[in-house]
Amino acid sequence: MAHRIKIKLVDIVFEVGCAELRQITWLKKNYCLFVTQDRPDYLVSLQLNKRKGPKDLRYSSCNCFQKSLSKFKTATFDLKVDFCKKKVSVSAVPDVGIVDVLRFLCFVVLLKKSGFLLHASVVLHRGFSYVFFGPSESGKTTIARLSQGSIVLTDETAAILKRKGKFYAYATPFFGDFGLPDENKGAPLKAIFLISKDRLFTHRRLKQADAVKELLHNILVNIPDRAIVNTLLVSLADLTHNVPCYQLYFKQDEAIWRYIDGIIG
Amino acid sequence: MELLDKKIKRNQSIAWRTIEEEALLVDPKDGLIYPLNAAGTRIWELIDGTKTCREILVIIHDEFEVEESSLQKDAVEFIEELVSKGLVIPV
Repeated sequence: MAHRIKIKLVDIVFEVGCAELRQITWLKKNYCLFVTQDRPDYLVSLQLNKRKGPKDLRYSSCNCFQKSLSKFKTATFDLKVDFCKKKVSVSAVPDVGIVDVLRFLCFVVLLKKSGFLLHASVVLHRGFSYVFFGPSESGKTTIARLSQGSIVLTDETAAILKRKGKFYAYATPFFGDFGLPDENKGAPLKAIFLISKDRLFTHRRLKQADAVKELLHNILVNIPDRAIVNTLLVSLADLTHNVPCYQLYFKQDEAIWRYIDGIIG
Repeated sequence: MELLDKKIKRNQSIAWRTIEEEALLVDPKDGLIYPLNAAGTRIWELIDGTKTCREILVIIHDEFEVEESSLQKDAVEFIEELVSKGLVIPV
C-alpha cells in the first residue's frame, strides 16, 4: 500500500504516493509549509527499484517534449509524465533524493506551462516580487538576510511563471542557507537583478539579449534537448521583454532596498 | 571546392532565437551559448541550405555599409568558425 502526501508547488498540487514511508515522512517533516489538502493536479507514483546498468550522469529526454507523454532519464531516476492524464511515474534508485525528484518534476511541469526554475532568491516587497539571480556566492542568501521586514520567498530556487499575461515569481521548497521560505506564495514580478557583491551600490540595465543569456546560464536542470531549449528561449525572451533586468553590484547594507526603490522609481 | 562556393545549412540540433536583432545560439548537448551581433545574426538567418556563402555575402553587402574586401574576409572567417563549432554544415 502506498503512503501519500500532497505538496503544493507554484500553485500546482502533486499527490505523491510511495510504498516507502521514509520518503513521505521526510516530506511531511521538511516541507510542512508546502503540504496541502487541496485537490491534486498531478498523481505521482514513486517506485524505488535497483537499477540495472551503468549510471548516466547527464539528464536526457527520451522522446519529444512537445508530445503529451514525456520521458526523462537522470542519474538516479527515470521519470514519465503523461500531461493528458496528469499522471507521473518515477522509477528511482532506493536512496534517491526526493528533493531531486520533486525539483525535476516541478521543472518539467513548469516548462510545459512556459515557466522555469531559476537559481535565484525572491523577495516580496510592497506587493511585488523581486528576483535576484546569479551563481553560487553571488549573494542570493545575503540579499534574503538584508531584507528583514520583507517576505523572503526563496534564497536559492525561484519558480517563474506567466499567468493571465503577467509574470510571477514563486516560493519553492528548494532553499539554501536561509532555510524554508516565509510563505508558500507568488507575486507579480517587478524586476530582475543579476547580482554581484561589491563595496558600493551600482547598477546598469541589461540589454535584452544579454539578460536572456545570463538567465539561461542560471536555469536549473540541464536537459540536452533542442525543443526544451527553444521553449526556454521563447519564455526568456517574453520575460525580458516584459520585466526590466538589471546588473546590480551591491554592498552588504540594509540600504539596499532604498537603492532598489530608487532604480525602480 | 572553396567554402565560398558551397551551400551551407544550419545544424538542426542547435536551438536559437533572435532577440532585438541579436541571435543567441545554444548547443543543447553542452549548453554552450553563442551570442551573435547584428551582422552575424543576419548571416545566420540567411544560412538556409539554399544559398552559397558567396550569395550570402552579396546580400550582406547590400544590407550593411561595409567594404567588400573586409566583408569577405570577416564573413568567411565567421562562417568558418560556425562550421568549426558544428553550428552550420556545408551541404
